[in-house]
Amino acid sequence: MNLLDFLFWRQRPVSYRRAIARARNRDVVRDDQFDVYRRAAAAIGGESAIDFGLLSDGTPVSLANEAALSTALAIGATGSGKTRLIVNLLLTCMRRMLHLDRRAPTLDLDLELIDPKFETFDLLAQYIAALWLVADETTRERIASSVRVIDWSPEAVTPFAPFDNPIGEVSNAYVAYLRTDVSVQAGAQPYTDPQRQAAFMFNRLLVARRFPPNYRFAVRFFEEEMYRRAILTEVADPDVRAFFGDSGQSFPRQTREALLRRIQADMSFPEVRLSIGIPPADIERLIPRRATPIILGNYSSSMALPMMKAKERASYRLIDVLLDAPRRDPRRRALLVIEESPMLLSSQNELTQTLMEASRTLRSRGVGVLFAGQDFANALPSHMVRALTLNSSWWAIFQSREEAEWLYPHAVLSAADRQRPEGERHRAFLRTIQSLERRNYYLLVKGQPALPVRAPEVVDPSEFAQETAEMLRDVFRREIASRSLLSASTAADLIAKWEAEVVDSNPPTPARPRAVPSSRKTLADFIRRLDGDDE
Amino acid sequence: MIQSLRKASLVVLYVFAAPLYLARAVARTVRTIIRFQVVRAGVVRCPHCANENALDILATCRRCGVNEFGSRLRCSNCRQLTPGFACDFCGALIRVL
Repeated sequence: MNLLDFLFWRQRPVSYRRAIARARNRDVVRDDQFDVYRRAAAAIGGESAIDFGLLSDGTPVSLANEAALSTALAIGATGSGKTRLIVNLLLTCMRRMLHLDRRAPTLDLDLELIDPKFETFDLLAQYIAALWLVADETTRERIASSVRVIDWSPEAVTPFAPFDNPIGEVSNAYVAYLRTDVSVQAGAQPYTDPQRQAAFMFNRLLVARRFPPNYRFAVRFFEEEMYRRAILTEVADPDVRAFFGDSGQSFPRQTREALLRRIQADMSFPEVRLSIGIPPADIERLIPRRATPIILGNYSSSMALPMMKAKERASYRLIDVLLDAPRRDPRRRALLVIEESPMLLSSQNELTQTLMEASRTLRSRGVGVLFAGQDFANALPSHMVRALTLNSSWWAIFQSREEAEWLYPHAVLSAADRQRPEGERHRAFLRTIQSLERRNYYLLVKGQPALPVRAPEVVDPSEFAQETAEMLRDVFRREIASRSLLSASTAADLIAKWEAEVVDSNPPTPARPRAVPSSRKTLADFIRRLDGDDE
Repeated sequence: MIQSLRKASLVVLYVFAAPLYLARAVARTVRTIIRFQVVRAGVVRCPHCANENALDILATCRRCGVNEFGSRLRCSNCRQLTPGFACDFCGALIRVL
């Protein structure tokens, strides 16, 4: 008998008693579910905790700041009330960040909403407008200067430079690689391998020269050799110079034309062209970078754009957030809310992998990500679902089907439940989750049992400010969003000016390159050259 | 002569090695006792999700299949010792012994 055997032999009676007591506790002692719920609610709350609603006996459920702002999941069918819960969480944070809630301590937080479906953005916009309307002059200025809006419409757009790498913490190639990966996924036409490579190298060129994506520039660049050489003289990256310096031989005419067709298709929507077509230098000049703790992004297509373009833009923004995250001060917390996240995560691209990695690692930088949406279990691959469930601190599960299975092991049994066989109990629990009433959900904080909670009532913004919803939207556009948006005409002028300077002007003639002896020696090579089949 | 010299050198070797073996045995004993404190406490917190996992439960031995009330880390029937187990909540491996 070794030492461990001896120790276990000594411990055996205690272990036996404990195991028996535990089994009895599970089946007999927990007669009152609400005792368990109340204890759990008390354990997860804390000073200045964020309100998450009420138990059915009226006990308030709140979650300590640290937990509430960490990575989490909010899952539920459409209309089940998850948006209201998210809006309540965001509003509570905003009120504390902007010192609007005198009773609660100030919250030092960076907040960003990425909303590809408009509803949450619209609700928050109305609430912010309502808060602005009822505030005094100083507070109004504080609200307006703290909010940055990312939006696009035919009338006004938030300018955005996807192919810019001003801080240079990551290489130009990596920026170009991420953007290309996203745009290839979002493109209506499929990309062959050479087309993808050509798009990647072209994007590297844009990043290197700080040029906006522009169809006319692309056409002239690819069609005129002298112009191309002039543009390339100021590119430091030797890979890009080498690739395009001899592009007639690097990739064939068909690839070039296919790439131009794709650029044309991408840039044919006015909202897209006006928002990403402005040169990065002009964006910096017109809308200087300012530290705005609240960023609200509307990435919905609003039935006016292809869905994939909206998704592309949301992905571009996510890339920016993820690239900035490692450089941020971890003492200042940040919460990134991604609405309809299965829509963004369902593509298997570099961004989703980075985002999964971020859900594991961004905690160390003080960043929490709230993934909201419906049907995670079916919409996402199982490894991604597992990564999300493992790396989240709490789940709010509204009316749903498959996700109910995640909760079952954490449900507290009632006295009536214990009388029923396991299978029947299981089916009854799933039915309960599938038919939860609007605003009712189960809150599971890791290490605690699942709590059935009714989400807090959020006062309608129109009632709060005594104004119509349309009026509130107008106030938001005029007083708050206008600081981050450019009118379509201004954007079009800036693009036209850049085209006149860069695309329409005659470039200085670069030194003529030394003649390279032709590698084509045979008639077969010559015929291949005529066919344009150089691959 | 050579035989006795060989035996003598073996004895000397053992004498010199004895403190090392003793130190190693003491270190191992101390380590085992320290690790066993977790088993005594009966609960281990998952380092990944912070869930409190009970060690004393109605456990099933993965080797012989016996169900018994007792520690989930050792089967009293086949004496199988399990140094770790999967967290009840998140499934992460928790190493105890």
